[in-house]
Amino acid sequence: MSGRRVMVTGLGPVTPVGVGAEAFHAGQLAGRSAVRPITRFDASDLPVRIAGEVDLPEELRPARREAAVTDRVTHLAAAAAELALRDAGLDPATADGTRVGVVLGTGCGGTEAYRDGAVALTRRGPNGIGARYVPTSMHNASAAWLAIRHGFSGPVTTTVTACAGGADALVAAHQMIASGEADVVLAGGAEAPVTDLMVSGFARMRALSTRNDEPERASRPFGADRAGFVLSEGAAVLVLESAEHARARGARPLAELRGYGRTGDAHHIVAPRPDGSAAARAVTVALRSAGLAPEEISHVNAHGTGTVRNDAAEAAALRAALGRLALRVPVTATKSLTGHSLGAAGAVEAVAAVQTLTHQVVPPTANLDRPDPAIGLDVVRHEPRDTSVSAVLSNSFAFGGHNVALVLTLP
Amino acid sequence: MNSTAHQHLVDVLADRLGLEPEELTPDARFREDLGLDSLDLVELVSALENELGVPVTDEVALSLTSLGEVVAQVDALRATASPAAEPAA
Repeated sequence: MSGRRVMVTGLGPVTPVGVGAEAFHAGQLAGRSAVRPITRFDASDLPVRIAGEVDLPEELRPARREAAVTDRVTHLAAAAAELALRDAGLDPATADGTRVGVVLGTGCGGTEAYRDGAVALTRRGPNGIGARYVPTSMHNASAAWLAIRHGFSGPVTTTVTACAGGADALVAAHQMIASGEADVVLAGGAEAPVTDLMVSGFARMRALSTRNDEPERASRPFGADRAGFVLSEGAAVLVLESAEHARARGARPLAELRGYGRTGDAHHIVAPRPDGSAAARAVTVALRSAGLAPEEISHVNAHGTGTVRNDAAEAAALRAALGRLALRVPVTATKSLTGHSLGAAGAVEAVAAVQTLTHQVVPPTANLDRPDPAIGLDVVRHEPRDTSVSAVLSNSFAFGGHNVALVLTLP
Repeated sequence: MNSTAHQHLVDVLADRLGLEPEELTPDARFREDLGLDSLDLVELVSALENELGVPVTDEVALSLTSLGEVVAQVDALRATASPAAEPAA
């Protein structure tokens, strides 16, 4: 990998299993899924009535004015950024804002605003739509809001690659820092899809688990009885920083974002390429860019959604890219705990990957009482596994066939 | 405008614009004191039209600088508005 080294110096996870690095880590180790009956709207007439929802602590909730002029997705992003900045010990008031960028991934943008606007249009006509409709629903609103809120005027952009958006944001941020375009980037993803519009949309695709009576048991990546993913809201922001910038301000690097690989399936708008060959290539490219051999990967944070097709294709990809290592490298699927937060997921899981490096422990995949024998991976289950972790592969695969593999290492 | 209608207007604006009702004093200036922008003024106008059934032109809307002026305008518009000019709810 050419250019400046890129370190992770702060973590801001905002997830159903925990808000803040400490709570998120503890929630992962507890290994219990946070999926629950939907409370954000009345889902009683929907075929899917469960989701992962975030309970923001009082101090991270948006102020009244902020709540009125931004969508839920931006509230989650703002909370994640706040946590990440605190964790990194980076004070926006004293930072050179011109050298700080923001990149966020999102699959759906402001879905509540979008939905409310469409309803208003139908009910009241063109003048029924509020003046805030566009600025609250547009996909780039969250990244722009963070820039405005903190005075960060370096490169500010948004990656809209569905379930790989969060990982793509980290790649974009890496490129900004490696090339010298920015010294620090707030990078991550945010998603707030727990609306009747989005839950119905995904349910109509038959993509979601309908295990409404057992929410905690619904997200079951790599299980023999997996039957779809569980939609989730959430956000995660990581502070990425050039190694020299971190050193100069005395910041402690938690990990290095060492490499990445990206490919496209060029196959189907939502179904993964069954042989996982393009996803495998993303992993291979990521390893090469990190300068690592497959055997040097000590843990895989899988995309692991719990759909029949994703998990099978991902297992095939790992076998193809890692060879015999795929049989014994410990794998975990964070989505078994959080549900699938789409454009936030890649960033949420990058946080989880960093934490495995820091704590030298791989959290379990929940609900894996009966692993699918066709998967053929060592998926950690039932309890956390203490293990030596020096390099983690984190996968994100998306509707649209976007494959993004990240490699994170000890600093 | 009577005090009930006035309070209702304050509540609607506070809700739509994300302000504390106490901030919406008659002489608080929208831009300078409350930090509102042109989008807020459009929201304000929509709220007026929806809640009060009084049509407001953009020219009038953009000339409003405080709640006191809004109340005065509403009273003036109401005095001249014909029922046919009321927007559909």
